Amino acid sequence: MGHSTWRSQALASIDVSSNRRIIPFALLGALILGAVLAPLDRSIRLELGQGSEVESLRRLDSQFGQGLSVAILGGYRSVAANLVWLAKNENWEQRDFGGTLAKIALATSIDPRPEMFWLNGSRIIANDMPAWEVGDPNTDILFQSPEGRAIVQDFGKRALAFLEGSRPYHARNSDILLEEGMIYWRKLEDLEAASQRILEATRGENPPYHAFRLYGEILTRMGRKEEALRFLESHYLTLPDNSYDAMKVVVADRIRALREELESKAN
Amino acid sequence: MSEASQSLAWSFSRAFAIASNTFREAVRMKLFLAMTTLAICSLASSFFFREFNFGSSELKFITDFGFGGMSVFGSALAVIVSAQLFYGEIEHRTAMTLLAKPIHRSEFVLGKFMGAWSTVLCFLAMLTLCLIAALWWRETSLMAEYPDSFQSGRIVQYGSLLGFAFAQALRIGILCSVVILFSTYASSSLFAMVMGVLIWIVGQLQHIATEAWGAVDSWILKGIYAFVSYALPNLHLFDVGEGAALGENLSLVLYAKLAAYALLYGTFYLAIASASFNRREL
Amino acid sequence: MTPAIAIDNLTKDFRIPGAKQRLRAVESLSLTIEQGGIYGLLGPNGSGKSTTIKIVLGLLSPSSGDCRVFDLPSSNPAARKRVGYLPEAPYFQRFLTGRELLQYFGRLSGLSRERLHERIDSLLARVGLEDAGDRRIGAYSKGMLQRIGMAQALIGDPELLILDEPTAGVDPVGAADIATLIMGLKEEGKTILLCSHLLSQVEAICDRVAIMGKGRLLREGTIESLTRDAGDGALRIEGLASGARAEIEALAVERGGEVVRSSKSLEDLFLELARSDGEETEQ
Repeated sequence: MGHSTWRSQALASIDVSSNRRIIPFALLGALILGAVLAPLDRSIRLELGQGSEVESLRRLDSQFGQGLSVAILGGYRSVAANLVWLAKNENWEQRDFGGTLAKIALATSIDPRPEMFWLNGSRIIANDMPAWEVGDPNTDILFQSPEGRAIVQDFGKRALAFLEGSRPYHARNSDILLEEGMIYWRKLEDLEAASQRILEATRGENPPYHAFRLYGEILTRMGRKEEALRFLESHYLTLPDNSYDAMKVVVADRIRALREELESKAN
Repeated sequence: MSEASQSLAWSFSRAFAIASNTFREAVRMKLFLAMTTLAICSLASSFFFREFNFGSSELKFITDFGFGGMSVFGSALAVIVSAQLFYGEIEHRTAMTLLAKPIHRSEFVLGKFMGAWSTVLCFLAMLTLCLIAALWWRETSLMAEYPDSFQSGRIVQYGSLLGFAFAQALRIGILCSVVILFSTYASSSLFAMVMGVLIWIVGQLQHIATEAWGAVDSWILKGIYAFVSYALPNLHLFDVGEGAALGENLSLVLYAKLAAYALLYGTFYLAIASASFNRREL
Repeated sequence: MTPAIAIDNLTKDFRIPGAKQRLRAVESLSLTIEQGGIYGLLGPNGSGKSTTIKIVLGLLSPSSGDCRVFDLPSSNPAARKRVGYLPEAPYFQRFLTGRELLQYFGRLSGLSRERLHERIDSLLARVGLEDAGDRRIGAYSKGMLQRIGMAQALIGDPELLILDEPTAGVDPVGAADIATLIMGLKEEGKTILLCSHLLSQVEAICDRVAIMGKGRLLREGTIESLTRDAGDGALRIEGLASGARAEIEALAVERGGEVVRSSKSLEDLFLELARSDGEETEQ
């Protein structure tokens, strides 16, 4: 097709002849409207926690190219991430370290918003992979030998590094902070770091009731029983009477036990 | 009597008459039926994954499929229906008979927008009902199967599902108004549809341009990113899904902000569309 | 009395996409259509009739000149309160019934629900569709489509009707019915602007006619004045009894003349003008 014919056909698809004067005003109006609404845009994004996506896109681009980035940033982004997550199950069943880690990373890259990906991913790394490393008949050595404990700590650190990636999207997520605290406590046996994380979890968004009980418990384990008692007493006052999760009776029992212990010590 | 006093008062009733006729035409389109069927099938397919997971993960998957259907199929329907319903009148010359009546062209534009938007709202409502029914049914069966995991009661925030549907309705309103704007000077519905899809994609990615334009060195790229971030609406704002159904309740203030954002953009695009259509020669 | 349509030195140019030159569709057209009567607008394809009608209806804007409808600019939507329009080959939404279509257009014309109800019944009867009002338009024949088109043009009880090829594709019986309807509308005092290629029909019912060619007005006047042979000394005598007629013919022959029984029809005139206009262009 000749250039002039192509150009005529392209121009024929739009009829801007009567609208040429409107176009610059429309563009200027759009820019002004965008500038006026920019603060509202920022306010909404802040409230929704729509964090930085440039970094996650760069990671995806480097692996798969820009086509995938555009393709996934539509309404089926969550679905795409879900399908990758489900595909990870096959690698998990085969105890495929590389495949499982790659799919967990891809799912969180496609859609870093679901906390479920981060929590379950870190649990696979911290809990399942040490067992894969030594084999099922030998899982006892993970807790009984220095080599076993080193393996547990190594995967614990990897899980923490993985959870670090959730920071831009879940900086104040109590469940994720709590997960980190438990890894420090159970895997790395670093009670100081664990207590800091669990305390942050109690101050995060929608903290679960058990985070408070865990903080009281870890303070007790660290020998800071007076502090634990004060913490649990102030927490007890906030608990509703009719909530199963609040476990008010359990907290009351723990406070009673701590008081008795401290009183007997004083005596 | 002076000419100024012999002007035709603007009438919402005429715009509404055009809207209701447009809606009646739209819901008869095979495309509407096809999209609705596809979206519901997509939702139904999410049940296929139940064997792999249970609990909040499975409910999340069902929710995501439902949300994805609303977003993708709803947006596609908005673009195609708006272009076809508007440009179709011009193509078949029914617009000539209509506009030969004592109506303002802006009433025609608004009527077409309302007709197209209400069509997609109808689709969203059907899909929302299906999603709520699907989740309610599955959650009930999971609660019976795994009572320990549901000690605190249901975990799906059904009110927030409605909130997500509301946010999608707003986003689609912006899309419809953009496509109608392009239709006012397009000589084919294909041009309006292509531009609508482009705005949809760029609007979804606009927030990245906003983040990126400060980070690049090239002045040309900076200019492009800045232009995109200011000139186009941020459609990504309306993706409230993750926070909605299985997490915290979003505030009414947030929904009011989204509504204000959509109203301002929609009004702007329809105003430009009216000005453009006033100058169009039929 | 205010003219129904007053066109003064109207010119309309169209831009051609991708080309520098413009297409001149109407050139320096001046025309006045008084209220009452049937006015024919004729011209070969591409003569500018449709463009002129669209300008009258406000669907196009003039490049220069003026067009007023009942003394309002044609671009003013208020001008169309008193205008009804039947397009050539009308197309309506097929899923609507005839009654629903009239309700739709009636609402756009500003009629109240109560008035609309009785108006629709009377219009359907008037155009002969009283039994088909509840049938879907998709099932209408060509003739029925023209009739419902007439009905929608009349829904607002307009003073000016613009009919573009109202009998196109309609059988002779249907065409005669439409012509009778048009005559009835004239007797009600309405002004009708009729565009048609059926010159015999135009000749039969129009009071005045304008003939356009290549965007210009070629001739305008009453049928009689246009079809009268001019400049060739021909006489046309009407109203004589057969005996007196024979005497006149005999006298003419006695005095050396020749009696030629002919009159120029409108069609003859039209073809003559169209051809001569084409030849002028070629020269």
